[in-house]
Amino acid sequence: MDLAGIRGLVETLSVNDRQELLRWLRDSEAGRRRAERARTYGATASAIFGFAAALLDRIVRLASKVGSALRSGPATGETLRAAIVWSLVTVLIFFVSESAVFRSGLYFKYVQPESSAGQLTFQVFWLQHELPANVPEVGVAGDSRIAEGFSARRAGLASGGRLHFWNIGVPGSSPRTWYYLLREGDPDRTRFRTVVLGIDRYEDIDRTEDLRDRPTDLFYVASQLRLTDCAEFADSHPDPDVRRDAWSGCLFKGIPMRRDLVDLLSAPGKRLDAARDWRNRGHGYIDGYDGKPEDLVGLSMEPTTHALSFPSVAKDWQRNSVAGTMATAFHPVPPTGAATAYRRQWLNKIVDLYAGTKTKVVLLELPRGPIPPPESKAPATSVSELGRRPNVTVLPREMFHDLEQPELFADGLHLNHKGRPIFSERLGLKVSELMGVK
Amino acid sequence: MLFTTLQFAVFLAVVLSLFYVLPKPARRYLLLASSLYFYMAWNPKFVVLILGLVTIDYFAALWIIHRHGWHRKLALLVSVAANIGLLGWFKYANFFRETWLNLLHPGMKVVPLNIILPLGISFHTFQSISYVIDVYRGEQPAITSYVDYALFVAFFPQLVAGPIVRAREFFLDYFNWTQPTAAEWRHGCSMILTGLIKKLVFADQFASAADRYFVNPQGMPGGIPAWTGTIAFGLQIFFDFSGYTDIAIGVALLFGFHFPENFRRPYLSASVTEFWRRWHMTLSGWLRDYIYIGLGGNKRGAVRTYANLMATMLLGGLWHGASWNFVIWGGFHGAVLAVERIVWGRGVRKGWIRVPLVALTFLVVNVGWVFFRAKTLAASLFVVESMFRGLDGAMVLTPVQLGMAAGALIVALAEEYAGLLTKLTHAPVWMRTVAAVLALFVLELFTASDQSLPFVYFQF
Repeated sequence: MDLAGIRGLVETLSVNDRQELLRWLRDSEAGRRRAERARTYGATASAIFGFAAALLDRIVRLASKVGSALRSGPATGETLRAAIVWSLVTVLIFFVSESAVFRSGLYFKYVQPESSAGQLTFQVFWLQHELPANVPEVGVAGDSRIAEGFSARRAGLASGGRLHFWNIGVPGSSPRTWYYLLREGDPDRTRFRTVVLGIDRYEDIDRTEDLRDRPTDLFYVASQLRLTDCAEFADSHPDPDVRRDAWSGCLFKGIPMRRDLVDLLSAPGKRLDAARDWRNRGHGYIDGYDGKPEDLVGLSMEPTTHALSFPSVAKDWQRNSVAGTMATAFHPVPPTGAATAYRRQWLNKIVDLYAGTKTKVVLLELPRGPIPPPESKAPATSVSELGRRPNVTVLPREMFHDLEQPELFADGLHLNHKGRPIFSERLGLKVSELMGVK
Repeated sequence: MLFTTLQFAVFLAVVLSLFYVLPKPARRYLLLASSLYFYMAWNPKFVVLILGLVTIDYFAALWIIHRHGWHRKLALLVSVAANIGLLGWFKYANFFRETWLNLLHPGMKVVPLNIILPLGISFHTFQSISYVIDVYRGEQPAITSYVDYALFVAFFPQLVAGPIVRAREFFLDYFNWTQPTAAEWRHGCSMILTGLIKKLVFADQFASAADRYFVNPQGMPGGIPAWTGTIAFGLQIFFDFSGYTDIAIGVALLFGFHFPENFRRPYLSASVTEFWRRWHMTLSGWLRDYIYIGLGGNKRGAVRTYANLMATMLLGGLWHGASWNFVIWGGFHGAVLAVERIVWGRGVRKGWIRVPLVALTFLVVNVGWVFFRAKTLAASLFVVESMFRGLDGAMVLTPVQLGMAAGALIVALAEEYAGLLTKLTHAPVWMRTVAAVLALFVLELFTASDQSLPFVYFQF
């Protein structure tokens, strides 16, 4: 049959049959080309070529669609009102898309585990996803002194296995960030029977840095902030610039995540692996950590001049850290009331979180440094007030003072691998005693 | 109040809402009050200065149209002298004093006078001068309402760093005001978004590279750091200034005012002559109309034409800043313009020959930027010498920044030859929305600095 005859036959077919025939022709032609390519170039090259050709075809089709859309010209009869509405709707769509990325938890699933946001995010993730233990659980929150100096495993062993401890210390964090960590990590307030808060001193000592205006808090809690938190979170920063940044970072979480995103884009595979690994095994890594091996044996301070004498093996980071701790202790800044206001607000909010529940809040003063610092003249207003609340226990401040020895510290702030078990076991015993499980 | 701050966004939203809510007669008062508030947010006391100049120029123009003979010249003289005098005092007093004292006592360390440069003085004085001269020349009717004239000078989108809007352009819109069309509104929004991306994503990114090099060029010897550091600055100043202008034009458009174009992809110029037709076009036009043509332009023979070109560019350089570096920058451009005129005439080259010429022009313009950016003459000479001593040393631009520059070049070419961005504002609604949402994401996630860095041209 010649071509004209075939055409005539095709004309007699129904629409569906013609389409079926067209598909068959396309498929058989593509198959014939594939076979020809495979004969000429080999199977692998043929597959790559086929994929590239298909991709190119898609791109060309998309470009032609975009081109025809662009050529179609402006919408006629559109009013200014409609254009304004379009602007507002666009902003709304952006906000919704931004929320879909940053408020759904999608982005924070892959946040850099070692970053401020990552450390807090993964703590919350583990709290939300790990099954409850079959014994009462205790959360120990604090900054790097808890993260470095407290072993949940040791504390659990000290309780005779009757309690399960969580080290939820996050380096660089402060009561404001602990509040959001506990609120999100223990959403129905049933996970912990006791929450221990490790604070540096019971006195409200003002520092050069006003904790209320610590800009890094936004990075820690970015993953946990809700839209309804923005006003309270931002307003807790007295400095207008920091407050503005807190507002914008709370409304648009991509802003505090900029550096994290650039880091993610620079090595996406590596990041996804690291985040996945930390999500699945990070809690185990923290539990298995034994503390820093360094110590400060040989460190001394001349009592009158307060001159420090370091062991010859001390490294720069150890010297700087000790000097910083001692300088803060011996040269306090004039009181401003900022520390009292800050602690009063955020420690009370944590206590409020557990008010009316079975959970007790315990406050403890952390070992202050490798050399006992002078007693502070600042009043312990916020801790005294908290101590009067029904579900709060304030541990004796001297409880860990005997650990303030150079051989138990790695630097000016953090207990080392020798100090860590002593501190943890003693805390474990004390909490057991308070909970009446011994 | 920087255009890139949340404060400005709130200010704009409030003023814009009030503008469209208020009855028409009240709108000019709203715009003037908000413009003065905008200016006072930086330094309230300088509002006296700007209103003082407005008053002088307003009455000078009225005097010119109501008088004849030498009275008109006197009014013009008073007005120009007031503007140039104040500009000279605030901007050039220290420069001339230091130069004079160093001539008298070579090597003397001169302690500068404590003079704060009022924001935008270089722009609004030029705008005022052009108005009074246009009235004198009979090209512009004198404005009888003080509020109208004050608004022309102080209108906040262009007050701080231009574009330099002529009275006839402004009042054409002002007296025939019509509500912006939907397309104009969209164009205004896209200009604002483009300007913000240019400034926050691109300019601040390249600023970090330029600052790293120019803070101590001697610390990074070699031709490659000299070229890449200077190119980083060339890109920074373009994205910074054109970004500012885009925002200004976009904001004005939302109010129904059509500001003139100020940048037309200047780095795609095939000669320095063409570059000045595409770079800071409103300043180039001003210098051409009020200085170059005032000096005789090209009507008095070849030698005089070159001399006029050089004088215009020297003054243009000095307008940018009170230092010998800016004078040299202006002189450099004047010399190149004169050479181009001698060699090529004024024709615009077309076809593939443009490709090498565009590259050459870009390099020549960047040599000029050295004097614009380096802190001292000695540092400028060191950088220029490094550029031509040999291509050694490490790149100042990072791979990310190089990628951004390449991306920007592709977009510029697409706009130049296909009008892509312009077409996008007329595209179907879904496409515009996707583009705008993506642009907002870029702005949110790729802003280069956590701090709001001021625009480079604020110092002028």
